[in-house]
Amino acid sequence: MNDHRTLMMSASSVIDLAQPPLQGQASDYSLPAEFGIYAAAQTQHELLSSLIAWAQDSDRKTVRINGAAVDSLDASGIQILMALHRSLGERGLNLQICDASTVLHQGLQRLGAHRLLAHCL
Amino acid sequence: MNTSAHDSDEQFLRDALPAFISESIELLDQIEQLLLELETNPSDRELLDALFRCAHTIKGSAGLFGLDEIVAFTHHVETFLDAVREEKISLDAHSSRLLLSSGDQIRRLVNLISEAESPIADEREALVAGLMQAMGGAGEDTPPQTNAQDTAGPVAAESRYTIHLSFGQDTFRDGFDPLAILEYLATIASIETVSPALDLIPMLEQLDAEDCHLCLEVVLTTDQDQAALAQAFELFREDCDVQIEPTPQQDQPSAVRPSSQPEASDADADVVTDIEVAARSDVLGAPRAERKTSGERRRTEDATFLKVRADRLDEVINLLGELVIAGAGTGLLAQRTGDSELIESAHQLGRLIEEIRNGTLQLRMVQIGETFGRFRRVVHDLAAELGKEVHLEIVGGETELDKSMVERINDPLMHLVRNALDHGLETREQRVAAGKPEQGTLRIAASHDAGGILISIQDDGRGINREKVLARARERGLVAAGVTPSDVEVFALIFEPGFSTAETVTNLSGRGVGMDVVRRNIQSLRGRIDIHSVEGQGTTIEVRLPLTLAIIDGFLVNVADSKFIFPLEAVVEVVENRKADQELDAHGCGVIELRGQVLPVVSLRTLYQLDAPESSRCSVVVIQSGAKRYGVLVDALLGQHQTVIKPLSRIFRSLRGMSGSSILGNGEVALIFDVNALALLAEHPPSRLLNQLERNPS
Repeated sequence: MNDHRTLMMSASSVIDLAQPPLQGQASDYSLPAEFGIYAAAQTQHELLSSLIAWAQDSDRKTVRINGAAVDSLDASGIQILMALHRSLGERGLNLQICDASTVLHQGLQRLGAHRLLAHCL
Repeated sequence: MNTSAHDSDEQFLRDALPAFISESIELLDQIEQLLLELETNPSDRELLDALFRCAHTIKGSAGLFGLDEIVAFTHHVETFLDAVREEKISLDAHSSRLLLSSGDQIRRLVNLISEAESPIADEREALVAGLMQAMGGAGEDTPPQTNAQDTAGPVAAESRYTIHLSFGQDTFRDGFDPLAILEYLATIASIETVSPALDLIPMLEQLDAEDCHLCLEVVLTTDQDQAALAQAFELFREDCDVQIEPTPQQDQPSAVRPSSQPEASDADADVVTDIEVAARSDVLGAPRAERKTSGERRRTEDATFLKVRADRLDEVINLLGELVIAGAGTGLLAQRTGDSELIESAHQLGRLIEEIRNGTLQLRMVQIGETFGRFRRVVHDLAAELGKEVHLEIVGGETELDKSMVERINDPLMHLVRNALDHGLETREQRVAAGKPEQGTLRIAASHDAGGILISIQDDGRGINREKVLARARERGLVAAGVTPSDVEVFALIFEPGFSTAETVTNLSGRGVGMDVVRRNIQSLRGRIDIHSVEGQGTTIEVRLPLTLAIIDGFLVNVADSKFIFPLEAVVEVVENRKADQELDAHGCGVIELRGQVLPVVSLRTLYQLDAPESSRCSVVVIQSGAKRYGVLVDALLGQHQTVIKPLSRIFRSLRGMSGSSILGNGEVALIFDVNALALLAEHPPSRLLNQLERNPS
């Protein structure tokens, strides 16, 4: 499940899962293993807590979310990522999902979120 | 997905399987009804569409559970129905029979779900071959697989659609997952693109994580038509607004922006711009509002139903029975204290229990129409087999009675319907010779009657030959020489075990076979069965049943030291504290004058030989039983009583005139009267029957 792949998204390319993880770049937040409705509120709360610090960091351009641990998810989890994408965009920050597990990758792809999030690089 | 998630999914499917089986059986019942209706209205497009949707839903749901055999076989049925809808073939009698048999086959497959191997594969293959032959090979295609990746290349002509999915705010809370919907879509179509509308998602600060704000546009290619595709969303229609637009192949995917949703903010505009926004097709533009209204109406209608497991409801009813008894006990104790506040409080409690009782019992009430509907198929098949033309009329299908009653009455009614078809209605030639229309009529009707339900099965066939029945009864010693029984008594003889045989009563052949079982089953439900017949004109069998088997409103009376209960619906009126000056025979039967009318009465004290001194005054409970009215003499009227019906123990089963017992608030046991049986008992007291037997020992 731990694919060690990077979900890099851009407007022009779809998903590049072949690239290795970005070296020397630690993730800013790790998604939980169960990334569905039962964990949605908790995940949102934790992301919101971090959001203020990320926004206040004037050197920061990107927020990296690690998705390696995700082994189950539903659309509510992906909706949180979409909401995060919007909030970061408001603050001039990009969202980058690193090391997405197969489950997360498939979920993003199924919901078309890979196209949308591709714009955030 | 890891092992635990996989196990969790498997567990979910196992848990959901009984619901699938139950829903499939309901859909198969619908298929049967629709096919039979289509026989009389072959051009009714709505019926045909509904038929197709039923088959499609079964196939789709079976696919979710990986039930390949059902998917594969139902796919052939679906393909056939699609050819009918496209008017490539017509739904004639042969096709209808094939489809009915195919429905039976799917039903058997559903029933065989838990078994490893299906023993009916040969039969299934024969049916598939039959369907193919009826289509002239035109619709032959490859059955779908349940695996999404195997559905990419359907053989039938493919169409391209753009589907706009707008999920309701409570989608997640209701346990639905849009991801699951997309996974399901992938099993029936090849999905080209899925485009979410990001601008409709609130920012993380404003988001309630349990609210769903997803709107998706899905472009896909499938061999399903638009209606079939819409049917795929039936399961999710509560939580998802669906708009399906045929899309030409050259169209490109567009972003979703439902008209009801706000425009995107500038900040998000660039996010959406790189996803090409295609102009929405106007194909569905005008009717969209109407479709929405119709969809909303359907949701409102569906929201009025909630499926509840029958055993859970039974548990509630049992507890309710205990509550009623405990409530009565509390009321009694309150009365003894003489405390007015406590008495008032107990009264209030009693009223509330009564309301809960009525409401809860109402939950068990189901329409008898579903049971009647099953007879359509029996009539259809049996009439074809017997070479008879039969017009089936069903009246009062909306009449409600207790679910357990409906389940238990099904077999006796089925037997009566079969008998009417087999032995009541004549063949076409016989009817013509008798100056009747070629087509016979069988009428099954239900209605409320004196607090119970009356089900009648009426045919315009040959009727019962009274003289032959009487002669046969005399032969068997059931009727003494010189006695001339009434028509009702003569016709009642056919309920005697093994009474009639084809050899002896040719125009009644079979009427007696199993009729004793039918009567016993109906009596076990506290019901009654009567026959009316006119030779040459037809026969009507009337079955009277109580509405419920659980709790009734009763009327409590006292005779000697015993308490008895009459079903309140049967009590017409009561006359209290009347002088006991009526003359009664040795069996306790007599007559009294009531407002200038003669009313037959029966004394419970004498009938049941209760040991207690005669009272100088008595009360009369006037009972309605069918068309008859009679009075029952009792010592005291104790009033209305919520009665929880308990079955009589084995040693009391032979007690005539009683249908059950009930526990009173003070712990005493009261016997509940079966008013119909009591009426018969009053006419023919046991001692009188004994005397009759003594005279005719055979």
